[in-house]
Order: sequence, then structure tokens, then C-alpha cells
Amino acid sequence: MTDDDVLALYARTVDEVYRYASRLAGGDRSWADELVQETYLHLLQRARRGDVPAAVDTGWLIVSCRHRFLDELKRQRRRQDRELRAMPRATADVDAGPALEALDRLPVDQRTVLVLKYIDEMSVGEIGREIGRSVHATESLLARARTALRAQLTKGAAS
Amino acid sequence: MSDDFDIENTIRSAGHPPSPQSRDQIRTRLEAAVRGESMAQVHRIGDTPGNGHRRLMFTLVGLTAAAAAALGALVIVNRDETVLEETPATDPPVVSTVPAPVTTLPPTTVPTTAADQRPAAMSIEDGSVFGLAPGEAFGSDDPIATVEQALGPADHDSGWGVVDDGCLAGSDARVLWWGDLSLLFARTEDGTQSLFMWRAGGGGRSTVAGETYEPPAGAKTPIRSREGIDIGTSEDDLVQQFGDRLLRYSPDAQTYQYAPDPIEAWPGLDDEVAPGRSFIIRVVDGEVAGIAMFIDAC
Repeated sequence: MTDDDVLALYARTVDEVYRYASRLAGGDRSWADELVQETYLHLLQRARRGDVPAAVDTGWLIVSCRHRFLDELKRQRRRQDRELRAMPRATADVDAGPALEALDRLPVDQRTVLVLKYIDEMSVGEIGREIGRSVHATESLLARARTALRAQLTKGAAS
Repeated sequence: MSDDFDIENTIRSAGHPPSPQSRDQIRTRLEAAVRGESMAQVHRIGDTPGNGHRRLMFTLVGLTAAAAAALGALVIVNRDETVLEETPATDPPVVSTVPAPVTTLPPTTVPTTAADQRPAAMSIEDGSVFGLAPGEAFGSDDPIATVEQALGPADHDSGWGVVDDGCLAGSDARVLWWGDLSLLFARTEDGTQSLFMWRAGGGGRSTVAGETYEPPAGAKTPIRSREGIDIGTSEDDLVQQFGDRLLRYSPDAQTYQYAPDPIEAWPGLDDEVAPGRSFIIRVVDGEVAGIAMFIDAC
């Protein structure tokens, strides 16, 4: 895969990859931008080493994007960076729509499991492995996330 | 009411494509990288006032944590202590919280050369030893038997015992030594075993259930790496072979953090070896003196 191939692939796939990243990042456009940028830079690096599958497609890029997101979550969780967590959240600067606004108001762990479950269609066990939790803990988190999302949607509809 | 159906559609409708500004900005960064500008020069999109502050924080935190991981390794290979005793416990032990993928052990025969009869059982590329990488659970295979088959009975076997403090406090652990090679295994309540850490060189000691072991002075490393980087390899050779994947924290630290991909692509080095693992190579007086791979449990 040449550099030009990577640029062409970017043009063809960025909408779908970005759509996925935006679900994970909620309304934080800066975060979504960075996830997508890092996804394609990673592809470029690997392409230059000849280390990419013959047919890189949107699915491959979405998985790569997910890995970049989960890596960052793990970094945050392990370091328990209180200051970072206490920093004001970025304000959504796009017309997010009620669904994304509701998703954005969820804690990032809840948002993550919902995306992995309903977009990536992963099993609870697979999600648990990705986020470093037991099956039981993942099920609990998923249940809380569903409840919270429903509450956010209800609140949004009422306001 | 079908919650799943509603939620699924809600989430699917939540994503949105990039704004024209984002699309152009990312493409500009990508083109800059294609033109050959260093990734470090390709400014991160978030490095702007506002949202960017948080992104910058991520980077700084990443580097700080990487440095901390390196210091942890200094403890391991330089101050003759192990993570069992020294590393502060801020997270629950990984052994009881991280469901690890089950791995099948490789064949017990490992390649040797006429010049060096030690088995090439250590991999710098992937941080494994005898095909085992920290964090991987074992299936029905017996990893200790596999290592013993290659190296003979361990010089010291702590047996399974509870760790009193540190990262693995309260966990079931077992340390085995062959010369100055140590393997630290952990066991969860359901009996799942995994490798928590391996270390070659640098001496050190281990304490499990109150029993401390320290290898005799001059103990040798009974294995070598597949890539030719071993205890005693010159720093020049190390840098020549893996220079683009090594981060040296300071001239005085004599400690490298190793990443599997060229470093300029990975600001959060410690996470890119594999999530939750650190791979450390320590150099003393221009020679590799210690190699360690371990779970970031603390």
C-alpha cells in the first residue's frame, strides 16, 4: 500500500470511521478528530513497513480506531488521574442531535460499552476483555448504561 | 418495550461524519506525514486552546506514566527488589481483575546455536519468554513444566503463596528462579494461572509468603533472546538494532522503555507494548544488564 493509497483510502472511508469515533467521543469533536487522525497515521506507519493486510477496509480502520480509544481509556483508568477527570468536559461543538447528546452525557465507560455492544456487536465477554473487566462487572456496567441512556433520552424529550 | 431495539437505534443514529473543517484538518496532517515530516512535528489536532488542553494533558500524563514505569523497572533490576515488595498498590492486582486470553504453549524445543547453547527463549520483539507474555492465561498446559523441560529444575521455587503487600497483595503468587532468570506467576481464585512478570539479569530477590530468595552472586541468565540482544550485549548493538523503538528517559537513568513500533508514532509508549504491560531494558556501563517485562498493576 503506497502513501497515495492511504490518502485515497482516507477520502473513501473517513466519514464512516469518523462516525464511529464520534460515538465513542460523545460530543467532543477534538477527541474524535484525534482518534481519526491517529487511526490513519497508524495505518500510514504500518503501510510503510509493509505491515497491513492486503485489503484494508472500513472495518479494519474502525477496529484500529477502537484500539486507540480503548488504549487511552486504559491509560486514564490506570493512572487514576483525578485532575484530568475533574477538568471540565469539552462542549459539543457540532449539531449533535438528541441521541448523541444523550450518549455524550453518559460516563465514558458507559458510553464505551454501549458502542461496543450495539455498534461493534461484541459479546459481553469480548467487551469485558477489551475494557479489562469481568463478565459480571461488564454486564452490570451495560445494564447501568442502558438505564442511564434511557433516562437521558427521557430527560431530553421532556425538556 | 424492547429496550435493546431502541437503544441500538439510538446509538446508531448518534454518530456523525466529520465537519468539513475536521476533514480538511485531518487530511492536512496526514499529507504532512506523507511528505515526510516527523510525526512529532505533525502537531496533534487537539493541541489548541480549549479542548486541546485536555489532549495535551493526555500526552503529558502518558510520558509521566512511562517514566514511572521505567523507574519501577529500576527498582526491579537495579535496587535488587521486586515489584512484589516495592511498587505502590494503587490498582487492584491484575491477576484477579483482568481476564486474560488463553494461550497455548509453544513446543518445548527451542533453537540453539553452536556458539551459544542456551535456548533462544526470550523475545525482544514481543516481550515473551518461552512463548509466554505477561498477562496471558494458560490453558491446560503447564507452563512451569515447559520451562523446566528446557532448563531443568528451578534453582528456587517459592511454591504458591499469598503475597503480603505491594501490587499483588492478597494474591496467590509463585516465583521460580533459574540462575538470574525469574518468572513470577499469579493465580486467580478459579485457578487460572498467568505470568505476571519475567526478568533476566540484574540480580534481585523475591519474597512470597514471608520467604525471601536471592540468587547467588554471579548467577547467569540461562536463556538468550531470539534477536541476539542479551545480558552483556553492548548498548551500541541494542540501539543499532532497536533504536527506533527505544525511549531513554535520561542519560543517567540507563533505562530504556521498549515499544514494538517506531517510537515517534506512539506518545503513550508504555501502553503500546501491549495494554497494561511494560517492557524495560536496563543498561549499565554500556551493556545490557537487565531485561524485564511485567504487568502494570500498580
